[in-house]
Amino acid sequence: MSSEAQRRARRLNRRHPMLVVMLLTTTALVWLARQDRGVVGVASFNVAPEVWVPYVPDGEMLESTWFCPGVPASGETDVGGAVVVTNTSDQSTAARVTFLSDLATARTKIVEIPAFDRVQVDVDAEQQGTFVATTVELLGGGGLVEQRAFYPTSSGLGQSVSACSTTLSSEWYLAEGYTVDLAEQFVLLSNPSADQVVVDVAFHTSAGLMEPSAYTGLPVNPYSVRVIDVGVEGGGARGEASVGVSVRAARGALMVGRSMTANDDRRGGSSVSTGAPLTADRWWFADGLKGPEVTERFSVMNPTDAAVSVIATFFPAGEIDETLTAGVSTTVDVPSDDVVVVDAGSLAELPEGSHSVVFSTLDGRSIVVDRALTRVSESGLKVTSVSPGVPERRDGLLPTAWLIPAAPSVEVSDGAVLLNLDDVEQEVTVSTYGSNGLVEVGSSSRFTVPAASQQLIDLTDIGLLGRPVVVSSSGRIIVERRVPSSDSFSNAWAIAGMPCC
Amino acid sequence: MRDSLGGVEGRELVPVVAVLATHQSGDDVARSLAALRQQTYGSLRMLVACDYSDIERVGGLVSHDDNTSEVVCEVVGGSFPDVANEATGLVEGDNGLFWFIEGGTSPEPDALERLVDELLQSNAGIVGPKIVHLEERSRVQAVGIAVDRLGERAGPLDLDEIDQEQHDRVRDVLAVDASGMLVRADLFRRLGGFAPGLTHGTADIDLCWRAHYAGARVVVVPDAVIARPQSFVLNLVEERQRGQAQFARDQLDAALVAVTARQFPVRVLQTFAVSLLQIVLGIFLGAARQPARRLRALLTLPLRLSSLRERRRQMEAIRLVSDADVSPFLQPISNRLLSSLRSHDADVVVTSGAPVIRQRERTYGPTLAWFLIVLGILIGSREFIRSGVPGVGAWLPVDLSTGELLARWWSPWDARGVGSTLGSAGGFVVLAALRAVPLVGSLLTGWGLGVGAVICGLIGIQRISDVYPTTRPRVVALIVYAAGPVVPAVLGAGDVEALTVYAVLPWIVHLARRLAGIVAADSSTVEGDLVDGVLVVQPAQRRRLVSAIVLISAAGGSIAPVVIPVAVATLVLLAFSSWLMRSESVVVTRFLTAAGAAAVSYLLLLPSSLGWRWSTLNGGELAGVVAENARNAATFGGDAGVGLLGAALLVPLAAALLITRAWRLTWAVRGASLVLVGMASLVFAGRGVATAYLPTASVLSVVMLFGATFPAAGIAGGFGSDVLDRSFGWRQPLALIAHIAIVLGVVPGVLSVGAGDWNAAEYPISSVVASQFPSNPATGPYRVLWVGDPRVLPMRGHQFEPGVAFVITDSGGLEIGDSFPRAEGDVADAVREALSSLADGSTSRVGRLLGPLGIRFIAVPVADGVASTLDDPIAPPAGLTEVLAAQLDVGVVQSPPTLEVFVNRSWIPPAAFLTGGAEIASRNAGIESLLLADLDGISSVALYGEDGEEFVDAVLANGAQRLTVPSAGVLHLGIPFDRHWQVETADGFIAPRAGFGQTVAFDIPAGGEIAVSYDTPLSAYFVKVVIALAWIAMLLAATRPERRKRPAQVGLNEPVMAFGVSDEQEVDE
Repeated sequence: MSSEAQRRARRLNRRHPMLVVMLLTTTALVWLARQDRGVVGVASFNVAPEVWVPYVPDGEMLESTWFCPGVPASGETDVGGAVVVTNTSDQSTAARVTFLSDLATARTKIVEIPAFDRVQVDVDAEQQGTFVATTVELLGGGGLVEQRAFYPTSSGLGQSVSACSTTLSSEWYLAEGYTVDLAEQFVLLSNPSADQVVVDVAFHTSAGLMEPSAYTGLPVNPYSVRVIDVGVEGGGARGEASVGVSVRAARGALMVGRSMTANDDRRGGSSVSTGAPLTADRWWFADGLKGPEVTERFSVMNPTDAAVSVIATFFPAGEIDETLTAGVSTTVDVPSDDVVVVDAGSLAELPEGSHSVVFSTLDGRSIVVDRALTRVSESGLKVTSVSPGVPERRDGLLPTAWLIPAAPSVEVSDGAVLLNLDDVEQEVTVSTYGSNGLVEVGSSSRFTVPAASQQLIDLTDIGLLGRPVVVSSSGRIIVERRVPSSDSFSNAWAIAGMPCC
Repeated sequence: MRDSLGGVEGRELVPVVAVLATHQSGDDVARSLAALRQQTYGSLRMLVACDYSDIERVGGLVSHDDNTSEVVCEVVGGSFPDVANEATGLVEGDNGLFWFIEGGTSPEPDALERLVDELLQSNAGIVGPKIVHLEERSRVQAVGIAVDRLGERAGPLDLDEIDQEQHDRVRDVLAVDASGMLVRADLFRRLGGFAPGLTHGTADIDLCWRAHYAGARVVVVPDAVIARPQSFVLNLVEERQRGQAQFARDQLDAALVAVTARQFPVRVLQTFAVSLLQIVLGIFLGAARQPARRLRALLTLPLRLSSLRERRRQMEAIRLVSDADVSPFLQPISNRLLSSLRSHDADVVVTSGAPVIRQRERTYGPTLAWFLIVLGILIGSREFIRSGVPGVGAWLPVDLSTGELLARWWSPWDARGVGSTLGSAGGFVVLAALRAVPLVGSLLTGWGLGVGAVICGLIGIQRISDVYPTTRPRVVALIVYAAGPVVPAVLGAGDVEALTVYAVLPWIVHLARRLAGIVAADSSTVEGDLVDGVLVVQPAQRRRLVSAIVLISAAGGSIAPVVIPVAVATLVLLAFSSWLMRSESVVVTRFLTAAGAAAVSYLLLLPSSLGWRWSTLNGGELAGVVAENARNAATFGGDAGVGLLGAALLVPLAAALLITRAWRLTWAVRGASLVLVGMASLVFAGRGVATAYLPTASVLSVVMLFGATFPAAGIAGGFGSDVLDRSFGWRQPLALIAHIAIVLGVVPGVLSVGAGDWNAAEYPISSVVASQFPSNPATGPYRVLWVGDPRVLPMRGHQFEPGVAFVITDSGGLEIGDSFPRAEGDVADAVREALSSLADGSTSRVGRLLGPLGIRFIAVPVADGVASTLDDPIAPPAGLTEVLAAQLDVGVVQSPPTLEVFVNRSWIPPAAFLTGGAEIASRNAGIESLLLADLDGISSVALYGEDGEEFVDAVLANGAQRLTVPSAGVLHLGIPFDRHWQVETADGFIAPRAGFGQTVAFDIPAGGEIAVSYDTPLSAYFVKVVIALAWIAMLLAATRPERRKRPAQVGLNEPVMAFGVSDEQEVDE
């Protein structure tokens, strides 16, 4: 090879490696650019839980915050309330309880809660107000909170139990309302945050939508409660057998509850409960009764701009061979911004006794359904309990476990009502917290619930009395409670576990 | 023998004594002797001057015939003029002529005769021959010496021109070369001979200049020819390079000695003004050193005043003519300035297998390019000049003096945000140094820094493009780097990282290639496939270059830490590509050494560099796929639309790899490696791969643009030899397309000038900071926590998670120091923990977690006006504002649409006196206690300095602060716990404890006056001193201040040939 050729060869060789590198790099880049980008991490603080019914958050947390709608604390005898704080962790913890009032400056109290135990904080003893809402910040997050409102009756102390919520919302709906005669209905607006919240309150009456100017742009100061009398003369919806309320905050979020008191031929006692923070296309009720001593009505509220058609399906207890689709159905049309009442007693096809109910619509997430269940005791005492149902979540998840912060301190047969939402048979376990964690109590603590069936659970074992109770299942369930109230019962929801399935 | 005027009219020939200095001539003295013996002039005697060690050898060469006219004498002089002085002293009488011959030169046989003829005919005092190359006699080395009024040689040492008789005209000149100079003996003695101690190359000018003033003519006689080896010129160049400062002093002194007293001050002022102007021009054109040396010589004139006065006194004794008579022989100063515009450095070393001297091409190209660039910058910045600079990105005001900036660095306390004992970044030192520069300091607005960075980078690219021997590639490199698409983008964004990399990277690579010994290769080199033009680099110079790399990397890293890893990676890549191109192993090794040096710069930035994290380098990992990264990769940082034309720069890159040859290919490959790796990194980043470890897209684009300049320059520089000289084929059209692509590639940059403000945001986020978070309000100082996408934070922060970064600032507006890197300490961990709780929804009281740190506001930037605008916003991290709004102790504040601001209702002032529930809470540690603490309704007394600054900052800046506390309680300082804090009460000192488990707290037992102080550990100052000394040492090592060689150091008995090169006298380009 000549020297010229050698030089040329050397030049070529020198050039080639970089050309190869460039070719490979370009090819790799083109290949990379054509690859599916797949899932990559996206910066997100989007962990705010979906607004739903109260549920116990899962996982390690610094704290969990529970917002209770309020209990009366006017100082009248036997009128008051409490919050029950249950620690489901194996470490004792503390909770910071803030008492918000419509009359006084917010106060705080630190309470210690032993492991697997509960404490009851007397709200009216800590703070005075027409109503006092509480915020419970539970260190460690392992626990749950409910509130209990007490009122005097001729047969003893009545109580209305309501789970506290873990989320605030900028919109709330109260489908059930009753301001006939002397009946009182208050909307409890509590703002536990540092910012003032401004809300618009509207009433959905038989005369149409009312938006009183007094309740438009209504400020709710930080760390305070504001009480609205729905039936106040001249400003509200007096004399309405059915009045729905919607509360919308322009900015910020708040907690909204209702207090209803009536003593007439249809209703009795007081009921304090949380509003519904959302509209949904399906609402479940685990418990229901039809009978001569029971009045059960469902208020279906449509706060949207279009009329919707709603199907109410009742599932009588005992028909274990039937699926949920085989219940008693009735269809109602709910105009825009209106409330329609469905009276279970008026459904001839519905047999007497216990039943479950689901309200559904094909017109989107547009309705809110409350139930007013009035029981008449043997002494003739009427106890009315009002509560919204369990709405379908946007993600379709539902819990497999429900918790009761504190079971009744007396034996209650059929103290809890469970509805199996799946079309398969489920194993259900009833447990309580012992010193070492969950323990099953009694011989009937583990049982099977047929597919799509209602199951009544006795809370009679002495090991359960007054203790936190966990009802867990192998599938999706909802659990409602029958709470002793005077010589009768009121209804309340257990607190859901983390929606999972 | 021919007739000669020396013997006309029957008179005897004028006797001539040829002084042959044998120093440096080695064996070539025989050649000179032979040439002298062949002279046709009839009255020539030879005095062979040599030193003691050579006398025996030389004695053997001369004729020992009794009739001989050859005499050997022993001398001890050093330089040729010194030898000549000494030797002529041995000659008695002055009725004749001296002819100075350097040993090794070879006069033509009739050289002396023609010189004598002309001397007598012209009645000249001094005449000189035409000097040609001994090796190639058709090339001219010198025909007289042109000198300007400042005493500097106007032409090169080696004309290196083909002799086409273009100089063959007898003419008066200011000076002739000492080699071959024929001088009347009486004149020589009257002038006192060559001035002693002057450098070779100056003494002859000085002698001739004085001869002019003595009324003698100095004439060059081109018909008289002397051949001189080219190595003599090389030696002369090397000698000048070794002692450039001395050379500059000698030249200036020669000029100042010659002029009359009346002209003296004028000449001094002229020298000062011209030097200053030349320095300014030279900064851009890469020729600032020579005027700087002259200026230094002028400024040190008082030190030489006595010797200068003596020389002038001697001059006055012989002065016969006025300045006006001599002036016509001096080049006007305008020629000097024009020469500055045209030339680079006077002489450069170009290699083609072996070093040779080539005169560099001289054109106005670089000057014109610079003129257009500066004009473009001015036009492009006209809105800033007219209406002021918006505080975009790093373009923040510099309100501090040099002293204050240095004080910030010296303080062991970094007062920014919560504060840190790791100290401030060294950027304050760099800024202080810039601030101290006359004229420049006042331009240090943010825009000034930005434009300064661009110009600095361009000067750097000009320096490194010295590897191209012709002007065209250097101009192309300059234009591509100046008008690359990323340039207006980073100027408009005030991107401090990218601008710093832009400014520093060319310098680092330039120094690295010098460390590797790479110089300009022969422009005609093709066939030898010369990989690089490599010269040996002396150890001392290597040390100097390594020090310079460390220093520049550290200076850049002090402002933008990303400079250091980028420099290291770039140099490693250059090493790899050099290896790939079969560069000499020394080149590869030196590039790696340079990479190591760049890495070492980390040490100069201690201790603050200890707090650097990856997010300090790139601001924090981005979340998800960043689509624009791919576009950036292909367009060198170009924006959409016209910016896409930036992709055209890929064409010359590919073309250069395919077409260029020899060392142009080597540099093209080096540049291409940077482009390809940068592009790959951007694509990786765009795909969410390793984004935590990659620099920002703009920084990578700058690196890519830097790399792209080499292929572009290579294709432009090699157009003749690599394209036109080859047979017609695909190369010619490809090269043409590549040239068109270069033009297209810079179109975005050129068009961006039209905007007038580099498309900078009119209302950047920094403009609302001061109004939204005013300083010194009634509540006292406070802090602001910024949380959001890393791209929209007002300054570089700390990463929380991909796509989310945070930083804590003080109340009030932002200033330049805020853009410097912040060390990450315990505070960042505390904030990170709080944000984690916020992110996973595990608390509704995040305000309490942040409260002890003095954080009053939480700001979520939505649109910073640069990366994110209201029209095209970068969405804040999903759910961030919602979860903040859901916090029970955090409230929403009315804010401009560019910001979401929340107020922390649980904040505790950065310094406060706590009582009640807060006092109790302060004693408990841990998040749980903080969450349960009763901070509301307590009595807290906010404390702050006299000027409204944070109390803690006031203590560390001004010493102990006294204050009166109302009662027993807790003095809370919202800074990380540090046991060096102390409180003095009437009962003695109180030691600090951890407040809220993290801050500094003192339990004050009773009300009264207390003094709060910080016992700064000596180790903190010790570290500062060590680092400062390291900087100074590096600076000294890098700049190599020249030490004057004292005359006493030159012993009379030193060997004649001993031109000892001390370490500090290494070659300086």
